[in-house]
Formats: sequence, structure tokens, C-alpha cells
Amino acid sequence: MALFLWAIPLMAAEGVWGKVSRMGIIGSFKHMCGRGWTWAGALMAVIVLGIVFYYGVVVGWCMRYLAYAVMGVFRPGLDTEALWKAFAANGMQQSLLFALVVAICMFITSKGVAGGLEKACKVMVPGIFILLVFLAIRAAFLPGAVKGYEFYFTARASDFLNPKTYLEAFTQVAWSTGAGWGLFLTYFVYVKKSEDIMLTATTTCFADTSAGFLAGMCVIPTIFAYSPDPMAAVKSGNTGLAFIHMTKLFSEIPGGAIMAIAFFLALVLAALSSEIAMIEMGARILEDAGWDRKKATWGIGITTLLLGLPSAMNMTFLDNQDWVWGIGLLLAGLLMGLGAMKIGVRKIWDEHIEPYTQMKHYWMFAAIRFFPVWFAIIFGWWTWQAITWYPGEWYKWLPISKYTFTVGTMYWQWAIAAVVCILLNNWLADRMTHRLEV
Amino acid sequence: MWMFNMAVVMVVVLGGLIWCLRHIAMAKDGEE
Repeated sequence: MALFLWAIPLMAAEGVWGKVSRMGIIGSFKHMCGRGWTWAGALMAVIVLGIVFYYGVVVGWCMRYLAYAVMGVFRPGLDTEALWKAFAANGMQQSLLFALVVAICMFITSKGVAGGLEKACKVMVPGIFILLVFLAIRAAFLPGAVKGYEFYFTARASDFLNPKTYLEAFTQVAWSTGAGWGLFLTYFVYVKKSEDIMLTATTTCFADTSAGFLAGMCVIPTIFAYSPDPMAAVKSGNTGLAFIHMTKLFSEIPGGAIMAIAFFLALVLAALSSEIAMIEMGARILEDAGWDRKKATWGIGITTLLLGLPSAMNMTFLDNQDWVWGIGLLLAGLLMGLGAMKIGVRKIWDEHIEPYTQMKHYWMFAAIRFFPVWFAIIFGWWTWQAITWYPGEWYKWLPISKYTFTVGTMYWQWAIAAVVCILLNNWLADRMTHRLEV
Repeated sequence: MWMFNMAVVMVVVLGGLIWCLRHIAMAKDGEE
């Protein structure tokens, strides 16, 4: 449901923006919606760049754990929680890994879309699927894996009646598919005019869901087979699950060393392919302002390195940025939806999607009209949750403090970004003038 | 029951992906 109501229409709109305007996020908003909307593209870009700056640090974690796996660090009796805490406290090591990640992304992005990105993705994406299939098959043969499948695939009627199930599904889809991040938009700057937007958007969403499904087929049976407290492991969040619980299991189970290498290699490939796409998104914006590719790559690379360092040095700051800009993706999606409504949903479909698609189902795109409703419900839910986490103090905002996940810190940082983008609207509009010649 | 649910999820998710990839391949063949 969430794929069809949220991700596919949003990605289709992004595809139109990129293909028609032949410009990145900021320039495409100016081209599609008019000069006065340039700020909306800029705000979307700020939100996604806010993620780029800390996400590279997370890619560095995956690379470090892949190195641990290759070096045979995961042995029986290893205290994986202590290992994680020691690593998390080492800001210098994280900074060096982060710099390595940015350098890799810059190298690939500097080679251009066909020479760098496409070649890298042709290896990375099938690589992720091959590794996940291998891990899922290995997990199936673990004694007790059936308990994991029972947990994973048992549907309870009470869950279907619980609104939280739907809210979490929408939140998951918003984050996992990357719809509304401007990445799909940026890739569509380079496609041919006849490219089928609906089919590509649908394929991307199903590929993402398939990868998630396979990852679950690997992780959940493994946890239920070996973990003394499977529910605690499942509820420990992504970081705890991957870097503490899964690592612990890999150090104990037969063949765990090979599984650990495959698992962290898949994580590195998945995380790196996302970071490269985000760096490309930033580089495209600078190219729209007239920078050549080499200069644009250096520009976004150095900016990422400088603004990502605080997250590499301080885990609390990273958590804060993840909270603020992660939820910000909902706002980015809303801006995209409002932009589409401003132009006319039917008009976009008739002129830019329907003539080139095999999937002539207008309802699949028309669902974008409901975006303000989805945004109000999901964002309202997150806001309400965050208020309950900090009774009486939810409005406090200092990022490096105990107020990491307050509503205050999120609203303030969004508000500052929005005001700056609105003030710079004309300045940015004057500079976004270099469309890609196709 | 969980086996039936797993089969349904597999058919919908992986089947959906295969369907999409098949149509992309057909479109490419048509261009060539």
C-alpha cells in the first residue's frame, strides 16, 4: 500500500522533474514550477545534503566492520557491545573512515554518470542481491530458523487494526526507497526522452522491497536460531542489530566468519551506492550553476567532508542530524507533491508520463494528490511521539545535548534552513541556468 | 500458516520485481 500511495507517485514526479528540466533539484523546481519555487528545490537539497553529511560516517562504520570480519576479529567469546562502544567513542578513526568514503564517492562521481556511477552500480547492485540470497539460504539451514520464519510471516489480525502498523509501513517506505530525496530526479536528468518513468519507478520500489525482504530472510532466522533473547535483538534498532547482535551471532555460529564477510560487504555496497547517489545529486546542482564536473565533484566532496566531520567526531550530533533530516524527508516529499499539484497532476501525466509508459494506470500517479494528508498524519505521529519522549521539555533544541530527539531541535533547524532558502530564492534562481544538453 | 504467508509475500514482492525487469528487457528489445 505504502509503495503505491507514497513511493511510486513521488518517484514518478521526480522522474518528470529531471527528464523535462534536465537540471538537478534546485534548477528543476525553478524550471517546472516557476522562479518563485526555487527555494522549495533548495530546501529539498538542504534536507538531502543534511543526510549526506552524516550518512558517509555510517558507511565508514560498515567498512570498518567489513575489515574486522576479513581480519577474523569475530571469534567466540567476543564482547561485541564493548567492541562497538570502543569504536563509537573513537572519533578520529571514524573521521578517517569518513574521509575514505568521501574520497571513494568523489572518485566515482568525477568519472561521470556513464563512466563512474553506471559502472559502479552495475557491480554493486547485483552484488547486494547475490550476497543477500547467499545469506538467506545459509540462514535457512540454521537449526531453529523456523522460529524466525514464524515470527517474520505470522500476520495477526490485531496488527492490521493497529494504526501504528500503517504509520510504520509508510515511514519505512519513505526512508528505504529514497522517494523524495531527489536522487531519482538527478538520475533522470541523464535518461533519454522516451524513458518509461512509471516502469522505472515501480521497478526501483520493488527492487528495494525485494532487497529488504531478502535481508529479513537472512537476519531474522539467524537471530531466532541463536540469540538468547531474539525480541531484544529485533527491537535494538538498526545499529544495535547490525553491529552488536548480528556480529555476536557471526562470532558464535558455524561458518559465521564467511557470513560476516558477506553480510558487511552487502551493507557496504548498499550504503556506498546510496552515498554516491547523494554526492551526484550535490554535484549536479553545482553543474547547473555552471561548474564543470571535476570542480563540482571537488566542491561537493570538500563540503561533505567539512560538514560531516562533526557527526564523525560526535555520535550525539550524528543522532541529532539523523533525527532532524531523516524526518525532513517527509517535508521533501511534501514539497515534491505540492509542486506536482501546482503544475497539475493530470497535465503532468498526459504530457510527460502517459505517452512514454507501458503502465498506463493514471491512479498510480494521481495518488500524489493525497500527499498533504499522508504528510499530516505521519509527521503528526512523529511529532506527538517526540513530545511524549520529553515531557515538558519537547521544545528545547540544542543539538549536542540531552535534547537530541526533541521536536524543538527539528523545527528550529528546519525553520533556519527554510528561511535561508527563501531569502536566497532569487540569488539561486539567477545561478541555475545550465541545463544538461541531451 | 506462515509458509502460506511467505509464499504470498515472495510471489508479490519478487514476482513484482521480475515482472518489471521483464518489461524493461522487452522495451529494450523493442528499441533494438
